[in-house]
Amino acid sequence: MRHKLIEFNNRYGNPQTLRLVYILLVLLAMAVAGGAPAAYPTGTN
Amino acid sequence: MPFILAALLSGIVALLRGGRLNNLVSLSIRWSTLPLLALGLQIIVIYGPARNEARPYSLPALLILASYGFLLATALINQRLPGMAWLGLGAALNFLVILVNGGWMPVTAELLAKAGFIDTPSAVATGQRVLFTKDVIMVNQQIHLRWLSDVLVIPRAGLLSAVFSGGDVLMVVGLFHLIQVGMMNQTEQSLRH
Repeated sequence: MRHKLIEFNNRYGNPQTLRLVYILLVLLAMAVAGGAPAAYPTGTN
Repeated sequence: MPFILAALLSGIVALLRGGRLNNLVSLSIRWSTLPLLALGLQIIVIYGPARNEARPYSLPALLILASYGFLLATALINQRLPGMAWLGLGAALNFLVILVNGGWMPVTAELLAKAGFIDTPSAVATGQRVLFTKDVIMVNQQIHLRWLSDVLVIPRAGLLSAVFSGGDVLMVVGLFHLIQVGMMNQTEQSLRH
């Protein structure tokens, strides 16, 4: 397990990847917060 | 969902044009925590204990307004980025219509039925929040600046079904453009023009 975690960290734990994930999160936040509701239910409260 | 699909579509189009996801790293969005805060506020209002609240200018309504303020501020601060002008204009129009309608985005029961979200307009009552959204059901005569509210419909199209505003369309255009330019790594070139 520890070996796998180290391997995962080596592969994805670099600042470039983290920054990409962060940028994608920001873009997703803009899309979701700015837009029409993701999905309407079949009724109201 | 259409907004997220538009963002995904933009990514796919950019990949087909030879763009790379990694190029988004060079996209320098200043005050990038603001959209995350905006989303956080909306999640609290839409899914939190106040999800039934529909009173005009109540605290949850003000939080929705604040979230659009954050998005607008993001667009203004980053106006040098391609697509941000569209995004900002869309956020401003949505902010305006929500502001004059009590802090909620107005929508009519007829349009919800047309989109297929409810069976008939009579299935819902005026003044109610639409569950898990920032919309409140109003009748046409009550809605201020109706043309800016959720008046556009994608009817009965499964995941694509939506009721949305002109401001939403502008924001989609802006986001689509921003992702294209970001993935094609044209940001620096665009800024020089």
